[in-house]
Amino acid sequence: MSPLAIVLAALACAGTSAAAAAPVLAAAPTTAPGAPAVAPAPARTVEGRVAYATATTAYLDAGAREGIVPGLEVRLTRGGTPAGLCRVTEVGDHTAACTGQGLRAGERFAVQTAIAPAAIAAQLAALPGEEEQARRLAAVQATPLAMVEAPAKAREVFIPQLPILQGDLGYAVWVASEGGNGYQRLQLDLSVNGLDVVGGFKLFADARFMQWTQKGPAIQGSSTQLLVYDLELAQRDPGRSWTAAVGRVMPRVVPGASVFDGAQAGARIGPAEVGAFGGLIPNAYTTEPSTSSWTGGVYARLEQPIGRTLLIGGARVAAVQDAGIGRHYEGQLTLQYWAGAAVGVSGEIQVGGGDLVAPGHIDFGRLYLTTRPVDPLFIGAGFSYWGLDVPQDLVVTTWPGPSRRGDATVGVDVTRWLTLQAVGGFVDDLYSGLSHQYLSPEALFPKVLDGLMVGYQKDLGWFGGQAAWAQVNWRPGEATQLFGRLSWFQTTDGGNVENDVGLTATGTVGLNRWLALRFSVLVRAGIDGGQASAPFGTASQVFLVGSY
Amino acid sequence: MTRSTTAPAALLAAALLAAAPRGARAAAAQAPSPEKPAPSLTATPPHGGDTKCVGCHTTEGWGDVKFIHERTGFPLTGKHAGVACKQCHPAGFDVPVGRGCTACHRDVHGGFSGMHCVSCHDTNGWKSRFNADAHRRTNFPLQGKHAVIPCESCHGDRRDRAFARPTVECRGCHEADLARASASGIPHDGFPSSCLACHSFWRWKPAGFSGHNTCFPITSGNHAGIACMRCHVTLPIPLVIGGCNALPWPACTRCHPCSSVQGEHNGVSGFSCTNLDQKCYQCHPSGIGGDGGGNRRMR
Repeated sequence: MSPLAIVLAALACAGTSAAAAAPVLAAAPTTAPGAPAVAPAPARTVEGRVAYATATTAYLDAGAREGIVPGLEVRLTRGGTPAGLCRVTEVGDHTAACTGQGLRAGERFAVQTAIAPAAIAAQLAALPGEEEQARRLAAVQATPLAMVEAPAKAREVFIPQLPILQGDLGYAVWVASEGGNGYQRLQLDLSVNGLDVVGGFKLFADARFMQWTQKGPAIQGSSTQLLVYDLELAQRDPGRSWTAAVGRVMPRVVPGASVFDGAQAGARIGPAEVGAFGGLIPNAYTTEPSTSSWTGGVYARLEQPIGRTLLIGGARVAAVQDAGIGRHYEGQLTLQYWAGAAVGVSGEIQVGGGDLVAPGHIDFGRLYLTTRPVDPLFIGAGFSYWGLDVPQDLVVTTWPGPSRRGDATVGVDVTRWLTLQAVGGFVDDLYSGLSHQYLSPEALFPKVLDGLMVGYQKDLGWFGGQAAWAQVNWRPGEATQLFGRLSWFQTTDGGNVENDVGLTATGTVGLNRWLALRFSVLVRAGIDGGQASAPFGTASQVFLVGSY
Repeated sequence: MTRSTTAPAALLAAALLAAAPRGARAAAAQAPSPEKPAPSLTATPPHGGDTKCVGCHTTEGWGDVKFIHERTGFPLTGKHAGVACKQCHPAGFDVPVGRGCTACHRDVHGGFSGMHCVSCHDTNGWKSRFNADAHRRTNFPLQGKHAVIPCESCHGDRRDRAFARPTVECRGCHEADLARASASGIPHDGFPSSCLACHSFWRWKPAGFSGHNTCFPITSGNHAGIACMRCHVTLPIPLVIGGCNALPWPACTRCHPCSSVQGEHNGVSGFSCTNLDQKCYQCHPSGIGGDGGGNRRMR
């Protein structure tokens, strides 16, 4: 019987027979003045099991009706032996969720609760006779049904959203014991992520201000630098049939297009969007507006479900004039396909010509594959190729060199607390002829804190050597994330053997809903004997992050 | 652990409500607002399909959604855990959603960095977790001082944040250091392109050349730690590691002039002060007196 029917039944009863209700009232428990208060219900034991568990949450098969209440501490057992502890955070009628560590489905629990249904029932009025119940049931069934919106108890449901405004203010230091004074800078990052302006247009902005207080020779230009990555008014509401953006546009859904100062406009036709874009390309190093570089072209995007799978395609045909590549005409195609968790494939290719031509006119191409052919096994592999050989200033490089690279990961979830995987890869630099290969076994223990990983890497090629590490993620609280990593690196190039150790610690500590502290410390030190002093260095930064 | 409580509970509620004060009954009777038509009892949920409400909702309210997303093979970790369902499933839960990052997120790298975002980012935020350690899987692992300099020192594209750079030989960045070394009296012109044969990732000096031991030990013994130019008038060009035929011959006579060694070689067959540098090495290839015709250490 639904709550609706209950309400209607009650109304029917109230409207038809006040006399019938009288015995109920009369039988209701009362406490006479001066009489002793009703004794609290005796504790009772509720038993159950964990129906499902994630890394930090267990879902219990008992809830409020059984006496489970938020905050209750539940001791879990496995095969009769203690298996952990969790604290109830959410309670349903016959279900509850509790948080803890190392939780597993099937674990059992038995808790003492103060609610004893039998004791409560004893205080309630006896049910009316069968005749009366039949009469009431008939009245209920004879009443026409209509949906009633019960006045629900006001309850705040907090659904976090991406912050519209975010600012990161901090200081970063790079310093080493050997030579020079290092680098230091004050940094302010500001971003606006869709602030409503007018007519459905929203403001997007992303910029960085840097004041170098200590600047080594590798940093070109002024000590005060402002980088503007994005500053545009854009309308991309998925419910509208057109899109538009103007300003310093970071083009969405246009594969491979650089940031430009100009405009983009598109029309949505079913699952597709087609449009055009064009503008001046800012300076690659300073992001200052430039009149010597530009781009213009057309694009298309398709997002098409195919049964339970999804295909996303994108294409761009454009002319580009930019430092390094000169005048370049290029066409790019990207395809991404997902069939649930079983298979994911993505690939892209760009062909081009003009002042600079890559072998076979293939500027670049990439292919990635992820698959879970059977549940505990996962495989990921990728290959990429860059064919353009762009002449450039090697002090301030802005283009990749011709290269091939590939990598593959094969992993097995051995148990819920252990994943083993092997990562291998290679990079061939077709410009210098330098090649690097690596092979790396790793073991991940997801139940240790919030993830412990140990790994080893063997390096081959022009940069021979090996490395090993252990790293851990830990979330001691909802707003606090910590990461630590201890590493050892060895290089054996040229017959010399060089050993370093490294320590990395990063973290975010939420101060309140709008403010957080973010820090990162990386320390490296040489540990080879026979040197006058052990060299060391650090790259560290601390930021105050505000978001709204 | 289920038990049927519906019927008695309904009757109990009905009875209690029947006994409720007039005001409460009146409020209950007015619950269906005359301005707002009651929704159909058979209405389908807004997300369509053959849904099982208890799979996601609780009796606490419709907004209180508890769906175990791990079952889909796409666990909601980090920031994903705080995103409203409709942001990823605007057209309903039956419409497949791309699992790759670029299906939902814009690529701020202009396509230069590929589509494998997890190489550098995780779901806790876009601030990259890529650091000097992760660089070891590129073609330029960061060891020594390279690990503690700003990314901008090498990667110049800040407009598209491409982090692109061809892997070049050391002199691609250290041409000035090379010129400085040559100007200071140590000509490097014929040296191999990889500085690592002599220099470490931390500092230029002191330099070491472990390949030198093949021809003449300089990491131990009497000749350990002496500067290159103490022996070499000029460095051999081209430098061939392990060749053992450095020309001109290292100047042994700078420290071991003929006048000081002549007396010690009386009676040694073939000893002559002519071409003594070459003769020293021919008889004492390990720099020790006993390995040649004599029985004493070289001083």
